[in-house]
Order: sequence, then structure tokens, then C-alpha cells
Amino acid sequence: MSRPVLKVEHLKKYYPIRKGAFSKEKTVVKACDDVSFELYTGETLGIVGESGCGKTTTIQSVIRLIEPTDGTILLNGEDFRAMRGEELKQARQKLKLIFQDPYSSLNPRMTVKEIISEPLEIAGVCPDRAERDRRVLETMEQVGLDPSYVNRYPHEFSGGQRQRIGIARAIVLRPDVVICDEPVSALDVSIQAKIINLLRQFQRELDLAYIFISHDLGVVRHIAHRVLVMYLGRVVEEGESKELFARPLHPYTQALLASVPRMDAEGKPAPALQGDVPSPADPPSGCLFHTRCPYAQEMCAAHAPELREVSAGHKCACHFAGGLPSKGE
Amino acid sequence: MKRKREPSPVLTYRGYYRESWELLKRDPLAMVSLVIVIFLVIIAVFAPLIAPYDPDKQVLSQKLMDPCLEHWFGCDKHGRDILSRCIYGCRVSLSVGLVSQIIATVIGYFMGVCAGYFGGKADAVISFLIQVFSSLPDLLLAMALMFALGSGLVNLYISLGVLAWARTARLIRGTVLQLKEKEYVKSCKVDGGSDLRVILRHLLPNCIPTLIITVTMGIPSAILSEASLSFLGLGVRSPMASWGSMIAESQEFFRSKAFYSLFPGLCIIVAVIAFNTLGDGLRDALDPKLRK
Amino acid sequence: MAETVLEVKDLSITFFTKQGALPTVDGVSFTLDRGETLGIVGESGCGKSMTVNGILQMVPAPGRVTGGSVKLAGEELVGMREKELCKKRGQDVAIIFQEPMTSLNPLMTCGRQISETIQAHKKVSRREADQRALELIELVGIPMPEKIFHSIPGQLSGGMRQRIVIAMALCNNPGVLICDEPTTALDVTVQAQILGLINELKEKFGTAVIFITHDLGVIRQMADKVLVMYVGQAVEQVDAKELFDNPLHPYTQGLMRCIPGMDGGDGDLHVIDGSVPMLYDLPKGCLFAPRCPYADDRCRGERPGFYGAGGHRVRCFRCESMGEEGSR
Repeated sequence: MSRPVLKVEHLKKYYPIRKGAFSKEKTVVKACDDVSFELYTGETLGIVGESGCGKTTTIQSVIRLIEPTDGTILLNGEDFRAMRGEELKQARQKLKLIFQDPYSSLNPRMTVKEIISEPLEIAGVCPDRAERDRRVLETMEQVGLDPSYVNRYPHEFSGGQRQRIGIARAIVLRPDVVICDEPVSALDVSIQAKIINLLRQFQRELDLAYIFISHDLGVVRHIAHRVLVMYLGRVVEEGESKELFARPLHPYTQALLASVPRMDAEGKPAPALQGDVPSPADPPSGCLFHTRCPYAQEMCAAHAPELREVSAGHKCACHFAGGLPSKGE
Repeated sequence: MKRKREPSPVLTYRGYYRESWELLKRDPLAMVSLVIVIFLVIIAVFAPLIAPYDPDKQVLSQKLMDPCLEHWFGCDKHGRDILSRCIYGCRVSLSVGLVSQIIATVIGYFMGVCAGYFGGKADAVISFLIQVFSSLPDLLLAMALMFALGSGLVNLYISLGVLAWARTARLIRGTVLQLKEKEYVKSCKVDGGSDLRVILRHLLPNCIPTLIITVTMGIPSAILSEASLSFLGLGVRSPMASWGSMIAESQEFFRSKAFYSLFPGLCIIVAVIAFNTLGDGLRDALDPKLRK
Repeated sequence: MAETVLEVKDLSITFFTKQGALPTVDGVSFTLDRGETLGIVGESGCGKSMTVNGILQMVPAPGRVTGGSVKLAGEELVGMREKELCKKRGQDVAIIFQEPMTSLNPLMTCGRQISETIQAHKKVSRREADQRALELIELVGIPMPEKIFHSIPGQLSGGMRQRIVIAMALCNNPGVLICDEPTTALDVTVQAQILGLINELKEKFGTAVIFITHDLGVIRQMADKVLVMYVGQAVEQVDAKELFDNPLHPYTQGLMRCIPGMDGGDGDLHVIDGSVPMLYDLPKGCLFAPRCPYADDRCRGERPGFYGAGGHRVRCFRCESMGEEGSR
């Protein structure tokens, strides 16, 4: 395949914190630790994991909404982290973001036109007002919004329509990569389906690459080509979507899949995992998952497993990937 | 690329300020105070047309005249018409209130945005300044400033404005801290929008309700401070009429000629209550949390 | 064995607003036996939560229960005095909300909150109440109950908080437990734990459960029978197994098909056309007709009844042949 449109290598975001209110001793929270991935044109990369696993920190570091601590980000082969000023501004036109909450992601004091045309204004691509308005109307039509509502305020729209406004804003500049941070989590299922279909349609028509974050495994399985599973800031498994959902290697991925309530299977749920995600400020030693892992052995508490390729394109960070020992030791 | 459109939005939303106005109209107390405020503003603007006499003209034969048909509010110790002086005093009070609040708002918004939006060192310094200004006794500081600058209307504007910024800055800082986390601010930054753009396009429009409320609630306290300073002889220069200075002049006649201090006192009370009540009503109407 | 603990008949709730009288809940009926779980499913604004408020007689203004009856263990709740209702709530019927923090006092220790709830309904000493609270904390599967007893809610994770709320709800061993989207804010692994816990406790105490959710997968795992709601009306009401094997109402069918499955195809997702109508602008005929792929002139002209026999009831003309049962 050709060169990836976005390549992220060893991305790290550490937050220093004090151990106690009066203690001088400092420690770091590894919100995102050594995350690497590649994203190709027309492809969707799904990132799944429970809350606090670092999904949002990862993508916010990728788009430099927060400055990453370390790592490289190559956008179309150019070093995105080294960019400054005008160069950065132009590069940002290729990288867009869609937020989860359709209520707080649109400025309540701006009309739909102002919201959608803001990226155009910032980029300075259409100095001509009439031309800009034409692009706004065209994009509204594309995302399925009636262009006659161009002068209305976000309050007047339902959640699904607001999310369409957010999508219009993201695609109006024809970006290369669109990052979707839980874009359908706040929506009802029937509206969720419409938005997912819309996103897939734009992917086909505009050759967009998506990074799609969701805690809903069904949605990710449907939309993503490849999937990263994150746990406590680290990638624990990566693979082709079909392969990963059919043959999950990491015990955490297996537990996640087993926990999803399914419509097709009868029977009472059997909780696959005990306890909660440990605090990122005080992570377990060795393998981060060993405190909750049903297969944990002595060595898991001592040594952190590397993310290694188990089969072609399917990576897993588990000492026993491919051949798990029997449950409980 | 025609696609099926979403059906029309069903909510009828006429814009934030129209909606707030509708809410305000339903508050009888706020509407009464709004009428009084408008009335006071008209008096202040058209004082020369409304006032029956020249406020500074001394007619010694009318010295301390009781209220009568010619002089509704009576005359003061120099034989000047108190009604006319109250009308001109309204000019002083309202202009002091408004101008000092505008100065306070400009400084306060700028400081508040710097502290809230940029954070870090700027926040530490500005927050410290806010603390210092709010822990000093207002009136003493105003007196000190007026001593330093000398009395006069312009100096009143400046000293009261400089004193009131801390309150505005504190509120704006809090509002900005919340707004900064909003996703539309983040998406503007992701689009490469400059800090100036964020501050002007996204933060300012969302701060305006807060600013309207602080100005309305700040005016009465500025009016009171002006009255106190003028009472102490640190406000406007005589013979300029101000409600506070009129009360000061009437001191020796508290017992014998009650009307002398009564009328300017009433003016202060009416103006302060009207602005405060209007401010309360505006806060209820503009606060999104109190909606629905 | 089938002992009916809750009987709701033709419950209607109307909101009186500027736009007129809005039928927020329109003639919902069901019975709930001991140890049984009723799932109520539907999209936001379909009247799920309001139905529950109606059962508890806690409809917020400007809404009012405008018809029907709610019998809790044979006692009529509609029209009951507020003082007696207060006694019922928490004692005979308890509720768990989506966001646990809304029902917890952030400044009081978890243990004290539970024991206070016990003392509010029973005359017991502080010591006895505390003892019982500790047992309850242990019962809901919290490790190190003594430590949690003395913690304030802010120190706990979302899943732990929800367990505390469940312990509080269970402290008077209520006959009916209402769960209003109790796991929507939780992660899947924690959701599985909480769902497991609710099922376990239900079996242990024979509590009847009303489970409200928008997630059909959760319904499948939890419910014995299901009520599908659309714009304030029950559109389909049947045993859970039958519902998933043989959904009859076009809305139910649409809902099931638009969820991306764990093993579905890659094509575009099925969508239900249009959007939910507003309560002040309801269609003249069947409420679902404007979005229904099978709608004909009759559907657009008149409201269908709630047809069906043998426990499967559907509000659709296509099921008219199943026979009329009950009114409406």
C-alpha cells in the first residue's frame, strides 16, 4: 500500500502530579504511553477501551490540542509536531475533529452558517464571501441539512441534526483525516444508524481516513477496518477489525467482547471481569492488566509484555498471546 | 449530490436575546424597575430641558424655602431650586455609574480573559491582583485615589472604574474557565484559529450575558460610592450638583429642614433599588441554567 | 406462585403546557409478578422514565396523572395522600437512576447514608442500622466493606457508587425495584457486573424489577417481558424471547435492524426514516405511520388499537387479525 496519510510513532503524554498535597515527591500519570499506528487513505482506525484508558488523550495529542510529551506524528510524511505558525495552520486544514456531545460542540451564539464557514475563514481559502456562502450551502446539502436553515442557531436542531452540522464543519475543507471522538454515543440508535451511514458515505466519496473512538464495540466493528484496544494508556491489541473481533488474543479484549449484551444470545450475563480499572496514577507493576486478568501468572506481575506481532497484522501485548494458559493458577 | 434532507426543526427559537427579553417581560418587578431606569436616563439626558430652574442660580431670598408650588422640592441654603439640582444630580450619578462600569468592564474583561484563557503565570499574577483589590476596603481606596487625583467628575469615573474591575475580572475568569473546556472552543483551535479569534468570536459573545449583569449590578454600587465620596467632599467640585453633595450640604439642617436631605436621599434610594432589581431580573432572564 | 406485586392499568400522564395538553404517557398497562423483570425500551422522549414517575406518583409539574390506576401489592397509589406515598417509596418500591451521584449525598459517608435510609423507614437503633448497612455493602459485592462504609461517594468509582445506590434501594427489601438506565453511564465490563448483581439479588429476594433502557441487548439479557414504547404509547408488549424471535411492530423491527451487531454485515445500516414526532404535533393516524415502510391510507387516517392474543400485543393494523383484546 502507499504511504500512510497519518503515522504516529511512540506517542507519549505524561502528566506530572504530586503524590500528596504537601509532598514534594512527584510522579507521572501516563495517560498515553507509547502508542503507534498508521492510517491510510480511505481507511478507518477504531480505538476502543473503557473510560480512562487514554483514547481521548491519544487523539487530542495527535491533533496537538494538548502537546504530546514525546513521539513523532507524520502527516502526509511531514513532521506535524515540528510545525509552527502558518505551516501548522495549513496542516491543520487536513486534520479535523468531530466531538461526542452535539450540544457543547456548537457555539450557541453562532448561526449554522457562521459555524460551518469558520474553518474556511481561518484557512483563508475563500476570501470571497459569496463563494464561501456557496460552499456552506453545498456542504449543508451534502450532510442532509436543509440549506434554508442556514441562519438558524444550534438550539433549534435536534441532536442528530446538530451532529450533522458538526460533520459539515469537519468536511467543508475536504480534509484527509477526520477524527471522530465518540460521535454517536449521545444519540438514539435510529439516529446513530443514520450518522454512521453518513460517515461511511463520505469516506467513499471523499476518500477520508477516519480515527473512530467509541466504547460501543458493535459500532466500531461495523465502521472500522483496523482496531486498537487500549488499556490504561497502552495499546494491548491491534489488528484487522474482522480478525480481532473473531479471534481476540488479549484477555482484556476477550473480556470486553464477552461483556457486551447481545441481542442474539439468550441467557444471563456472566461478568467477565472483576473489579474496576486501576487508577492511572498508581498503575500495577508488570503487565497493567494482571490485577484483573483471569489467566495471570507470577511473571505477569513482574514483566511488562511487549506489543508483538502474533499473526500477520495482528499484534498483542500479552506474554501468552496465541496460547493462553488455563484459567487461574 | 442531492440527498434526502432532515425534516424541519420543530423548535421555534428566536435567538438568545429575544428569548431572554420574553422572559424578562414576564417579571413584573423587573419591568417596573426597567421603566424607572428608563425614566432616570431620560431625566439625565434631557436635564436642561426638564429642570424648571438653573440649578446653580442662587436666589438668596429663597434660602431654605419649604416645598411649594413653584419649588416642589423647596430650595437649599443658597436659595437654589432642589428639584433642579436633583435632576442635574441624576446626570452625575448615572454617568458616574455607567462610565465607571464601562471602564471596569473593559479592564475586568481583559484581565479575566487573560487569567482564565491563558492560565499559568498570567493567571497567578492577575488572580493575586484580584485578591488584593477585593480585600482592600473600597471606600478608603476610593478616597485615597480621589485625594491623589483631586476632586472632579472625570476623576470620579476613573477611580470608581479602577476599583470595580476586580469583581468583573473574577466573574469573567470563572466564565472563561468553563467556556475554555467547551468543545467548540477546542474545535476552533483544532482548525488553527488564533487566540484572538477564540477570544473575540467564541468567548466574548458567551460572556456578554455575564457582562450585562455585572454592569447593571455594578451601577448602583458606583452610585452609592459617588454619593459617599461627594458627601465627604471628595466627589464632584461645587457648585456642581450631586445627590451625595446635596446631602452633605444639608447636614446642619437635618432637624429643622428635613426635605433638604430627604429628596436627594430618595433619589439615591430609588435609583439604587431600580438598578438592583433590574439586575436581578436580568440575571434570571439571561442565565441559561435557570431556563427550562 | 405468580403473585402480582404491581398492576398498572391504562396509566396516562398529560403535560399541560403552552402548546396544549401533551399526552406524554398514553394508556400504558402491565402487571408485574414477584421475581419477574419487565423491560421498558424506547428512544429518548418516548415516555419510559415518565411511566416510572407515574407509578411512583412523582410526575413533575406541569404534568399530571390523568387516568388509569397503579396498584402496588393491591393498594391503589393514584390519589393516595402524599404522606402515605412517601412511606411506600423506598419501602415497597425503590428506584435506581442512571447517574448514581444524583441519589447520593457527596458529603456523607456511604455507610451512614444507607443506615439513615434504614432508620427513615424502620425504628431501629443507629448501631443496628449501621450493622445492617455493612451487611448490605457486603451483599452488593463490594470488596473491603468496612473501608467503603467510611468512604464518601466521591472517592469511589462509578461502578462502586452504583452498587452503593443498589444497596440503599434494597435496604428495606422492596417488592418492586425500578432501574432507570442504571448502567448507561458505565463501561461494558462494569455494566456486566452490575447487571449480574441485579439478577442475582432479584433471584435471592424475589424482587420484581422494572428495567428501563434504550439498549436492546441489555433487555435481552435482563427482561422476562418487554414493553416497547413509542411517543408515549406501548406499541408492542410480549415475552422477551418472543419479542426477539418474532418482532411484529414495524418500529420494533426497525430498532433491531439499525443496531450494528457483533457479527453483522458490512453494508450500510438499516435506518428508520424521518424522526420522532413532537407531542404537540402528533399525526392523525398511527403515530408511527409517517416513518413506517408499510403505512397505507388507513394507517395515516385512524389510530390502530392494541391488538393481540396469547400475551403478544401489537399496536399495528397489520396485526388486527390477531384479535382485539382489551380497550383502545
